[in-house]
Amino acid sequence: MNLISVFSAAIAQQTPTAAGVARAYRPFIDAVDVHHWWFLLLIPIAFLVSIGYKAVRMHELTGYVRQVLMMTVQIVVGMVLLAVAFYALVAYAQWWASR
Amino acid sequence: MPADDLELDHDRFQPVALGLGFLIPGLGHAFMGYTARGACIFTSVAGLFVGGLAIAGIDAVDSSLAVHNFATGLYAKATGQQHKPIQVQDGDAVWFLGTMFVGPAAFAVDYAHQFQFKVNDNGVLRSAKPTEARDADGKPVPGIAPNVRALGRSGEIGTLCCTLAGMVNLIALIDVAYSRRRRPGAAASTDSSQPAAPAATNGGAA
Repeated sequence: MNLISVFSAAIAQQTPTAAGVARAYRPFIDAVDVHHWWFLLLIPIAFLVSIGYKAVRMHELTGYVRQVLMMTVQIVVGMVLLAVAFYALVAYAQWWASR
Repeated sequence: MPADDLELDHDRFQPVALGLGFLIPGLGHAFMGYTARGACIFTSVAGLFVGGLAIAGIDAVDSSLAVHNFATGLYAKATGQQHKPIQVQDGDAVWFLGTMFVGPAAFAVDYAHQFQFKVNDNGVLRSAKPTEARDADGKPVPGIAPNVRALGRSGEIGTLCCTLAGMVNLIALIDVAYSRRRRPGAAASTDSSQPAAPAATNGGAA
């Protein structure tokens, strides 16, 4: 099983929620079903955290937008690399356990 | 973006700015003269908090009344009264330790969650099951649940967003607590007269 098939399985997975037996969706009260695209939420989360962090951390705000975008990319790329690394670690552990 | 040079004074504590920053994220920085920074902090904290509520609903903020019970316990101890904590069956008390730094908004949402959406099951507050509604006294009756609970990824991401909002505001609070009021006219300048610290100029990403 490679990475693409893992992601495909995750996207195609139908996770049951309580939405089927509840009333119509009300924003900020009811949960939304993000099970098919939850990992995409990393981008806005990283962006918003970068806005706050850089507003505090930068000595002067010259080049603020560029720094925020750079930190956002760094977080997203870092998380992707971590995911790949952990996938490799688990795959190696599976291979080691099955040999 | 105009220059908004931040000057820190680690010897001088700023309790008013700290209180304002807790009241409304970014207001402490605006009070000290760093309006642009305050606006950015507000955007970040409010965006994460509202985003978390949009994803997980009101279930994203759930203190299990841990803070409430702790505060009433202290009050009861101080006044010599007997303390009877409210029993809560489920919740995310540990996550709320981070979320509470968003400020009164977090406590208001949590209060509404505990007393407007949870059911009172023989003295124990708990989330309503999908086939349970609340009656006027908050007791569970057959019907539709007051809110759709955040399950799986929805709960994880929503709660994470709200806690991150609190953590970002905590950083801002620590920062503003020891900031120095910006000098008049500093906004018009494009650079500060003081030398910029190399490590802090751009800020590390990690």
